[in-house]
Amino acid sequence: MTLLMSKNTSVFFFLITFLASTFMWAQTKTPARIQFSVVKYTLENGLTVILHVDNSLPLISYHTWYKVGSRDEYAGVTGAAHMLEHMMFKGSKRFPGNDYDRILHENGISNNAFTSYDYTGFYQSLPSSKLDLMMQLEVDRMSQLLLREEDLKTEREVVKEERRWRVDNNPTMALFELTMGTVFKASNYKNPVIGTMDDINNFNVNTLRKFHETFYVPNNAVLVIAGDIKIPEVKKLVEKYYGPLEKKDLPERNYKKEPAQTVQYNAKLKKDVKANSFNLVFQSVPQDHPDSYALDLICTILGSGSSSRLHKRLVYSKEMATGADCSHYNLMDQGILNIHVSLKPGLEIEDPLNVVYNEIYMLRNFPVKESELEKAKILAIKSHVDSLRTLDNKARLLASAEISTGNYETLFTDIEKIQNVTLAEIKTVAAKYLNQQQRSIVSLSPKK
Amino acid sequence: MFKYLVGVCFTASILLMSCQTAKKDIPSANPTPVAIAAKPTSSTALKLKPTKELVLENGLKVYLFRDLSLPRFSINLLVKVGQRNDTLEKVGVNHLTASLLEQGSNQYSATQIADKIASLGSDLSIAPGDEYTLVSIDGLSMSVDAIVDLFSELVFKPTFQNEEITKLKKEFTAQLKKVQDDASQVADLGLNAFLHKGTPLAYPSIGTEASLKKIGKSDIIKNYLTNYRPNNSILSIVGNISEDVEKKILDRFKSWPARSLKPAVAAIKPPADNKKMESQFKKDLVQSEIRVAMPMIPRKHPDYLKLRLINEIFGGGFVSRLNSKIRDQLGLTYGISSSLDLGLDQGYMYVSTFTKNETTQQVIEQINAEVAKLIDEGVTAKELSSAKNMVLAQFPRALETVDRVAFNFMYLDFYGVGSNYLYDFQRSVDRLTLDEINLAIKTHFSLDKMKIFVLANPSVEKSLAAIR
Repeated sequence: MTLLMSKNTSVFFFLITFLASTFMWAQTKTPARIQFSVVKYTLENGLTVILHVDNSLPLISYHTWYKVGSRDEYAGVTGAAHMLEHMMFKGSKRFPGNDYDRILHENGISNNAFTSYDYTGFYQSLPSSKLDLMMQLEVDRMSQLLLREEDLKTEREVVKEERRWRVDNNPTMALFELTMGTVFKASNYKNPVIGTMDDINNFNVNTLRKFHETFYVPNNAVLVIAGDIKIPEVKKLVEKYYGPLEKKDLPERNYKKEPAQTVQYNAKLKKDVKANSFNLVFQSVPQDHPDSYALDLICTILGSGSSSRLHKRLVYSKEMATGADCSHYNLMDQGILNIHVSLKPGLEIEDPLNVVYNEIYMLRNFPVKESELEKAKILAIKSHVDSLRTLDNKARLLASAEISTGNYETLFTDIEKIQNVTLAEIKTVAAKYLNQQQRSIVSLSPKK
Repeated sequence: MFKYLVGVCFTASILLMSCQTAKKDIPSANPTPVAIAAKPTSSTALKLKPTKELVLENGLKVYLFRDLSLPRFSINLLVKVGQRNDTLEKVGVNHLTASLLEQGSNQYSATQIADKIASLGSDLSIAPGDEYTLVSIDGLSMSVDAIVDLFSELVFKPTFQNEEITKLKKEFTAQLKKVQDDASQVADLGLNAFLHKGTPLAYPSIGTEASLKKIGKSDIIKNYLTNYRPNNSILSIVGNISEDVEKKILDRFKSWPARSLKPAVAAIKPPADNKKMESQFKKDLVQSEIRVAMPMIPRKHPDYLKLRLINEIFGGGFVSRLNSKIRDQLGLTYGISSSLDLGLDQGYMYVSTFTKNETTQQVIEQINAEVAKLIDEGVTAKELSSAKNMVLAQFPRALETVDRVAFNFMYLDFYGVGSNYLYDFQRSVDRLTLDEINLAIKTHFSLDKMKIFVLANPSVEKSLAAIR
């Protein structure tokens, strides 16, 4: 699974058109920028509000994200942020029981939520006439969540089923869980977002209530409203419903830093599978690190699509693998560059691993061709802006950029930073991060 | 990469967890404390119509959607051939044919094609399906000449070289083995094998080890020459295309020679046997994957919208009956949903879920009970009203981009529905009555015709025997 590829291109061009109708990037390499109109402000209680007008559809995309994820958990309560996300649908003071879902459905509002290592997000797609209602519902569960023991009892079973489905019954995800646990020894990124089965079994409402009271506060949240809106009207509504919420002191977050890796880590997983696969992982950099753009491009050159080096060698020429992908995950405190290779049945990992080592050696020691770097930049930039193609994705990426960096505008400046990466940087950064001391090899093999 | 790229739940990024697949449906003790107007929400009027709709002399149907606001374009070709056109002996021919379009042409090798597509900042998508194959490319308007040249080269002049055929067959053979590691896919394939016994659709679309061995280059060329023809295809040209470029594209496609088409393949009918359940067992599984299918109607049947609303109520949304009962009230699964898959000759409503080994039997019984309840009691006026609101309100998202609109036109054309479906959508949904919906349930749902497939741990076998 990779974050590198997407299919459509429209937003890229759309956004560029916004800035300069004379855009000729592919021909002249003039630095391109993406931009669309955004209004950002902060309420007195600390709630960050981001508004974007797009009247092309009579819909609004409504995102409420909290800066709390599995990195805020501690031993014995892994999965708490995720469990709380589930419990956010179990009723609040004004909307108890299943009112939240029932009312949304009756009003044509679709919704969902997710939890990650760094944050938790709730989102809806609503007819533009339903904004007032949506705010009432979201404010109530932000400030007056019920968290009843009887609801937790059932939802715990749901989350256990989710864990079985996502991880225990899914060899690829089990490999990823082991990978994170291998690469990270000190950081909470070592823990699965969904939690361990033991911890899921042991949650109680008091733990979750503490999480909610601590982190589900306006000064720990980002609200993004995008779509068929009028800014002055929305501002009034936000003030009316969110304004009275109380700002609360947030705990000091002393996340354990992962020490620099000095030796190679290895881990093996055996499952009832037909073929070997492996993750070759390098410790990387956090989201705001200047080297992250060169690492993005290195990852694209290595393993993004059928024109990438690893695909050409492992899948096409040597026919050793059914897939070879590279993903660069930038988390808020740390990153990983993960090369995942899925082998053909009957093949051992040694030879394919040597092919990957060889490609990394080439990157570390020889400059890539300018045309290859340009191709990677095109792919990277297009993929980046393609992800902004729909209203919901625009809202999602605004929320993510804001909550990750404190400045949504990084969403617009990334393209320039990708374009500015030089051939020399690719070589230097590859040499700096893709070395034996910083790597881990985590494999999945058939049980004998 | 893409520091701010986050996935949504069901297509989830590997870094994300959860997603509130559904929630709970416990009757509230208190009345809703605020007045919530649940009147129907209005969907947008469809704004985009084709700029041009024509049929070329070679029989190619063309929809042109000019949208000058964006300097981008896409070309989409729907070829009326799919897995259903394969022979039983050589299942996988069409998947191979389609996949080979990007593995070599008169001018370019496979790797040159991959490099060229990437360098142009273009995306090529080839999707061979059960009933049609979609080949699409997109790109920047300023690169339109190069991309049109490349696309027509790939579609008109594939070389189907032996070396590439051998490579792809080996890759497909490996994939057939590896798919066994994915419980969800194994269950889907198991259900197909059960439902479509005796037809090409009973097998994986990439074929079987045996069929792949039998497929030769001549089979692929024959399939290509027979089916990948203008008079067997629909083309859409979308985006910022000048009249000159439009003429260039049309001229290219005018040169694509037509051929007389073979008679349509016989209609694929559901099996006549009365067997209710099939199962497959695999060690190490901690959950059972459960699939249920109920035969319905072809896509062009006038009851389509009724079934769409019934599906929304039964298992289409978070407050659906299946989700409310089996996930939210009983905590037996993380996800359960129903969906409609309606084709040229037949259609199905599917239910898909998973549960731990110990509760497999209970979940199957609950699904049975919910189907029985639906047939016996129908749906309520309140449920229908809510379903209408949801379907109407979210309808514009299906047409959010001009590419989606274009695809809808091609899709509706292929299934003989017509684009009025889009224009009339709101009115058609609004006027459906409770009696009509409940009559459709009585007409199309039958417990006797329900088929179940279960992939499970061997420890579950005994409990399944009890419900066979």
